[in-house]
Amino acid sequence: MEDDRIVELFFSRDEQAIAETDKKYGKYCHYIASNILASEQDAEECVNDTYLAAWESMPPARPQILRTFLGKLTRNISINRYQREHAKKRRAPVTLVLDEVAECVPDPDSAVSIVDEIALADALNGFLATLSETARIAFVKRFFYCESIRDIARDLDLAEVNVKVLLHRTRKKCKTYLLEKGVTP
Amino acid sequence: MKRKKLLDAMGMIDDAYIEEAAARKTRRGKRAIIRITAIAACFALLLTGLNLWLFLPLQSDLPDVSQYADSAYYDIIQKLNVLTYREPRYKNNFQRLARSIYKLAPGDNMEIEDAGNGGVLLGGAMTNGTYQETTDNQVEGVIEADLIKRSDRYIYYMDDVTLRVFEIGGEDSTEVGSYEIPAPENARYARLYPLEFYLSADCNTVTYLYAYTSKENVTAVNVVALDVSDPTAIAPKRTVCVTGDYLSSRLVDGKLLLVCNFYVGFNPDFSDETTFVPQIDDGNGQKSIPFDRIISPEVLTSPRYTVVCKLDAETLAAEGVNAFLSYSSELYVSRDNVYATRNYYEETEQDGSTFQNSAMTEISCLSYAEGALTYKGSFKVVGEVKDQYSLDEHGGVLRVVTTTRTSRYKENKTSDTVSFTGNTSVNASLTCVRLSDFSIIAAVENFAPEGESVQSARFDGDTAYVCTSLVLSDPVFFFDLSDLSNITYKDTGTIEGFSSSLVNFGDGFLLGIGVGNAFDTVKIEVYEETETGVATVCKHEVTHAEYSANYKSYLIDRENGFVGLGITLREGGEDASRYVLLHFDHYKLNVLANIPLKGDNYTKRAVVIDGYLYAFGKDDFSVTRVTN
Repeated sequence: MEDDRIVELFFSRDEQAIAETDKKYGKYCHYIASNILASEQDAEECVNDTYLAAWESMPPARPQILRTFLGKLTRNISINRYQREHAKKRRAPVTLVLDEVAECVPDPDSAVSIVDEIALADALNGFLATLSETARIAFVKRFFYCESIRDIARDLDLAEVNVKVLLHRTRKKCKTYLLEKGVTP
Repeated sequence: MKRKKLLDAMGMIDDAYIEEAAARKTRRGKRAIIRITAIAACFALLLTGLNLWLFLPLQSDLPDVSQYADSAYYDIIQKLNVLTYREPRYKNNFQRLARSIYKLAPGDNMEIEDAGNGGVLLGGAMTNGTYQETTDNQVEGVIEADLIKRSDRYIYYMDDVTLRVFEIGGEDSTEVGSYEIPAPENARYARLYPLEFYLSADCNTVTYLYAYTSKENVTAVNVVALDVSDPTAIAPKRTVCVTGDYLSSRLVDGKLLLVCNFYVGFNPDFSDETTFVPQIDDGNGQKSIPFDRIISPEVLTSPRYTVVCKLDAETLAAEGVNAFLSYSSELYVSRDNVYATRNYYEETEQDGSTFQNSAMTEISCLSYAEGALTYKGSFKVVGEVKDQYSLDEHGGVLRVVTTTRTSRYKENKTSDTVSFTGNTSVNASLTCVRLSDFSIIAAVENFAPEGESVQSARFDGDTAYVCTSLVLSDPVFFFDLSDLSNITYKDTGTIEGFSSSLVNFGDGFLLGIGVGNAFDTVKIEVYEETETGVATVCKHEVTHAEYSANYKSYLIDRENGFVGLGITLREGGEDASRYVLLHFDHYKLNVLANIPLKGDNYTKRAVVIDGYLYAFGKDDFSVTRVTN
């Protein structure tokens, strides 16, 4: 079913919207969730929570790209779930991502927040525009989708070591860029 | 905290970047599936193809040639298709690979290439001596190629692939020149028979015939003219190449008749005429012999053409060509005609269940005397001809001596089988055919003792000589053909041995060369006709010896009564290889010379000049005084 029609189902409060969403984007959302969380059960729950969040946000929200909209919802829900799980000290794949993203932050341990998330997001968009396609895709796959190095290497047809090097360099560039822009989280 | 914030901020990046990353993963996944599917599909296709190729049954039905119906050669194609088709030896390619067989070779092509400048074979203002005939040609004036020729000054002898020239000088004779015959550039190997040659009437040119197989597996013969005007500086003048298996040649009144065999291989490609039609290249490219120049019987017995080419002896230019499809290798050339023979079996029904198979010979006549080659007609005689000496043209009549063979079979209609009745007859016949209409005008059938076959034959005017034999005994027959309505003959009765060659030795004497009471006894015998029959005048035998049945290897000098031949003694040690010269004085055969001479009896040659025997062998030459 076309995304426009699924959105219309949400707007008409037709519960078929959930079924169609699950049919088309269920695996996509589950993949994002499982990249972040250690437990398949937790990931499943996050996907279900994504559908609920979508139901509650449409209307009024009318996303231009439904997949991306759902992906963001799943990612946020999964990260929040991770934070709760992290407090219980259960190791998840996103732990590694957090460790790596620290390299993008000028002073990762500082408690001072200088800029809000929107500004940071804008800065990140600006940074991503400066990257090559391969570097950008690798960066987004790693820090948005929280995909493993292995999966990124397979998708980009690169060796894992090459992906690691690529991400390392990109993180350093990100740190430099944010510093130059005067934007620090 | 900051890390978390940054991570959260990543969740708010432009959708386009999120989609971009997601799309790559999606395409990659699909691509992987597609790639795996493609690989699997290719593998499956490959496996299927391999299995099909390995195990699909090879075609075993006769190929359909109806697609060539528009070809002028369609009649020939249909006949050859039946004769040349061979079923695959194996059921499929798997079996074939498992046994690792060769492919069959292609058929030969007929091609003439003019590869040189002008050359002179006959004529010319300057002469290098006077030509003297050394070869005992079957027909006077129809010169046969040989390993030895001479003038009154020099003797030319082909020693394997070296032409040697000796100056005639009795005991002072010496070799004055030689020429190493080069193999054709494209030759893989030479055919296994000697290089025969002709000497021109002015004795300035030697023309030899070099038969070989090329690197492309095509048989061919080079006709090469050598300038021998200066024996110390022999040089090639002109070369014409004729592809095909060399059979024979004749030189008649300045025209060289070249006869070759063209073989059609198994399963020829009928879309390519070069695979089934003899080809000629007169310098303007290779062309097929026109279909109207090809004579073929209704039923083919052999996929072989006998191609007769007429070349101008001086320029070696082709003046005409004819091809006979499905003919044997026996050929007879008279002063005016070429006769090509083919053997086959004819089945006739005797009663409802018994039939017989009889050996037959079909003879086709080709005229070469008047300009181009002209097909005159064909006719059949009962029996098989042995060699060229079994035919003779005289006074508008062709006389043919044949061995007749007839086998009888009985058909068992109940079991649908055919069983041999054990009744086979072998005998000899003489048939006379009028050449004006090819009708049989006289015949003497089954004149030999039952079971005997023709070993040799010779004609001399109105007389025919025939030797028949079963194993090691023969009668020799003398036929009087002066009155064909009343042919009479006499014979020797059964005598020991048989003659592989008969020679009219003049003055009514017949010379027979062959074997005696044992196969390792060489016998030379002279016969004469008496009032009551044929009697042996004398004979000379050499026991525990071998000789050659090649007629050209004999020295025949009727005028002086000489007969010579090479022999090999079985227990002669180093001097086992010898040459014997006999003299017939009308009463007995006297040994004039018995000299060592190296080489094969087939290639030994000798001439007697002014009382000296000049003998030639393999790297060997000797002069012996034999008469005063």
